[in-house]
Amino acid sequence: MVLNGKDTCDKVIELALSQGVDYIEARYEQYMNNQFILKNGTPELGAFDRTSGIGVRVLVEGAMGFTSFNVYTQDYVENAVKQVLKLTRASARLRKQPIIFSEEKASEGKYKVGALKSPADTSPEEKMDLLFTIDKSISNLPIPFRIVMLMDTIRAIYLITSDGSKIESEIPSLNFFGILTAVDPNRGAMEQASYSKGATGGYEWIDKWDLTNFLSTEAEILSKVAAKAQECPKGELDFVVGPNVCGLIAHENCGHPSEADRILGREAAQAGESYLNVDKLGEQIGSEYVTIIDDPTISGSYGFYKFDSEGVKARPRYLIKKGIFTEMLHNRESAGFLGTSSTGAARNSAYNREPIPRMANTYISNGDFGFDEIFEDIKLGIYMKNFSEWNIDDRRFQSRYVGREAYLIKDGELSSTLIRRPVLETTTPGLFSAIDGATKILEFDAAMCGKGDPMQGAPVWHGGPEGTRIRSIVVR
Amino acid sequence: MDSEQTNTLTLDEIIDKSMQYLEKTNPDDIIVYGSDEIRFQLRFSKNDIIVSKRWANVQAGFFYVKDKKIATTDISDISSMEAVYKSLDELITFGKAIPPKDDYGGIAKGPFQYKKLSGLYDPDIVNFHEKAVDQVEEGLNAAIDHGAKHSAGILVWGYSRSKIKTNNDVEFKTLNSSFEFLIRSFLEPTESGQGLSVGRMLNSLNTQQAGQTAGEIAFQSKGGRKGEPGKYDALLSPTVVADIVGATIRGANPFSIDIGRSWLKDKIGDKVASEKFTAYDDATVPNGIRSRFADIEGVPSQQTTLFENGVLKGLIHNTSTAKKLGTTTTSNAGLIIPSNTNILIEPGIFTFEELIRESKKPTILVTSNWYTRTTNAAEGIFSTIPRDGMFLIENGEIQRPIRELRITDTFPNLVKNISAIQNKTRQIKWWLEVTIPTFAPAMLIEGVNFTTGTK
Repeated sequence: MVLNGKDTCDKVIELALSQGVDYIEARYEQYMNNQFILKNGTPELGAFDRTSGIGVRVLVEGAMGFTSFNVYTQDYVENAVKQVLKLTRASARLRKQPIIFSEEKASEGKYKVGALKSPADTSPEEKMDLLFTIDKSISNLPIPFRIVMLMDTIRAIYLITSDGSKIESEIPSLNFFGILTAVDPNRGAMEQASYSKGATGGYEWIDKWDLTNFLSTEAEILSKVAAKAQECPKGELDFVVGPNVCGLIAHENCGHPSEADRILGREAAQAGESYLNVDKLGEQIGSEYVTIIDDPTISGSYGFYKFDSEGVKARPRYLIKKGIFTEMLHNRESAGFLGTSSTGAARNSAYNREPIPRMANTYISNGDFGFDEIFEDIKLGIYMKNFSEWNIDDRRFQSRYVGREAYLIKDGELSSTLIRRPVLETTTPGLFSAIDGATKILEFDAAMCGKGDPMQGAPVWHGGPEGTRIRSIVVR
Repeated sequence: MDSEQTNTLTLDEIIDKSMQYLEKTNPDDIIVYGSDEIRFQLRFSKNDIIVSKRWANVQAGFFYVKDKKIATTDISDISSMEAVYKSLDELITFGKAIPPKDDYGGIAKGPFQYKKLSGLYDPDIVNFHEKAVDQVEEGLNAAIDHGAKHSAGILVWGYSRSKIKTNNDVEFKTLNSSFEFLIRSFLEPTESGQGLSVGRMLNSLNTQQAGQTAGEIAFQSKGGRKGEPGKYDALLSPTVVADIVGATIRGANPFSIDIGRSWLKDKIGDKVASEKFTAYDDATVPNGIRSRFADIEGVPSQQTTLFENGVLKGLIHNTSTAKKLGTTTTSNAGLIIPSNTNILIEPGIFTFEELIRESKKPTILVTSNWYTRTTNAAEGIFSTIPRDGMFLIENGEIQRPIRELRITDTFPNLVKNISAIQNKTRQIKWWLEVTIPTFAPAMLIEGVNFTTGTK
């Protein structure tokens, strides 16, 4: 894909600097998106977008401004910059202290994520055929409602900053999403589930995910849950959660509250704040078995990047290490405010969105138990393999995870008895302090993380061990 | 590079020439639409403006159906007709790859007569950026004056012009404006309140009132302690009603029903809610953020009764979904998925103070909520998290602030157990929680289940 708009970015940098800004960055982004949807086996549509635009962020008189546009004539660009500078300067009077970005080493580089079967080289016919094949694998099961989608993207970015960073990247990605509803007419029971797969790369992932087999297996399990799952026992139970639940816990109960902009109140009116604060850095907030890492450098991951949206080199972030809160997710704004360095967590979802601290791929690290071993000393418990419903309060203090595929653990063994909708409703400190072991093998799921206003959907992985043990949870 | 991007084309030219180009392929249906939009945002936190934003976006979109094969695209490179034609060629080729949608029912046949709707566009919005910082300051000061220590939020405003043309004798242009002020005020991290002011005409923007509301709720929530889980009557503010009662209204959509994301399957004509419950989709309501004089097929806007005295009367439709179900469009296209315009819930007879006094049993007043998720949308099983001020009412009086409770119930239960409704509505729209503008009253709902963390 050939980038356009680089010259405009370079000119915008010169223009804004000549008008007295302290800092400016400009990015040109270009997208090739394709989307295919089947509803109950019927093609709803095929859609594609070929869009591009430029986003510009400035610091002037201690205030921050952002503008975006997709018309590149000189008058249009000059007017866009002029107007945002005017508004930003006017807003400076409502600031008690100037915004200062952290000092970071300037980066220059070009990179392109490879794809064995690039979305650009795979025909719409082939993509539609793939979706039909996937859908057909569940068409004879008792799934009266189903929707399946394939979405591919190639995102190309040119970023230039006034302090010397210049990064070019091209990242293809693929996403499968489906919602299935299983019904057992005899019992009158119904279960619903959504499934998401995502990765950077191309259509080679369809085979890696073994998507046809994956979806038909999941549909069969969902049907079984509707037909056979028994009521969850009440009282104090031990839980073992699968990677799907564990990853969501890592994301919701640790990743989001570690975002420095939330901690500083920047998201307070929308996604909320955090139960963590700067003073808690270095404090024990979970058991020694809890280590949670956010790592954008995992090859093929849905949240992969080499340089963040401010040109800072990506690296793994150890948010919680052996139960101790060790690191926040910073962009240059939050790091500058706290007098520290960026952790390379700035992401913007599109050219018309500002870079803010985000997760990439967040996971609870593995332990050393074998899969069967993790259940051995549990007298009565639940293995919650994955979830259906979840939510968490806006300080990330109190969360709820409702199991979808869940089994009874009895007398040290995982049984085949399906349990209907077990509920893990706890505080975050209560949850993290109750973890006392995990298995060896890690797995990841894909999701689209939401934050920002306007919304910025960021592709992420979240994951964890096949089994993470959580002690003494009261089920009501 | 960009030197060839002259951008001298007008939306009219792009749309007219694109239509001519696509018509040569003898398609079933074409809709071409284009828009030119400017939006601004002032975002604030801890009483400071943290970023000022301006977005400019010019875009064209195409809906193309040939032999019931449906393809759509949005493009932003409209610098020359050559660039547009290149995208149209790709659309035509792309469309051939899509299998036919056998139950596709076409788009509306024009021409139509349109009623003049006032209140869609306020010309003063073009220069509103001159006053916007002052408006934010007024909201922040009002919050502080009413007890808040600090506030966060956004003021967003903008305007757009757009044009829609179909190959079925529909062609029209629109001018739109809108604004949204959201403020959340705090004393301590767990003591907060929210205020809103949203609309299209600037004379209805009241940042001061929104700031006052946020500040007052934050102040009243001071010293709140963890509430006890259990069944309570719930007094839901318009903000909460718009989300979790609105979920049932938004479920009156054939697409949602088809994919199991609504609990209203096969329920048209059934009494599914309290007889006090009447709700509409209405694209003609003055100041409604999604008000318009026609949908994207060109069908003139209307008020559609969805629920009347608790009975599900019908669903929203575009031409195609209506044909499939043997009814007529409700002017809710949505090219593929019918989409709500503004939701209106019929007000009741009680003032808000009377609703509090009506609450004889232990009742929880929920002023705001977020993160509503379903275990199974086809049954309406959900939970949501109250945030900001939440209060225990006993014997008709607010007793004390409480926190850390979750509403864990079903949408059918909520609408069946509506016992009293406020006598006025407010337009609600905020962030991800309420994206469809909803004119909602407060509601008293009996026997709502509240849960909390057990560890």
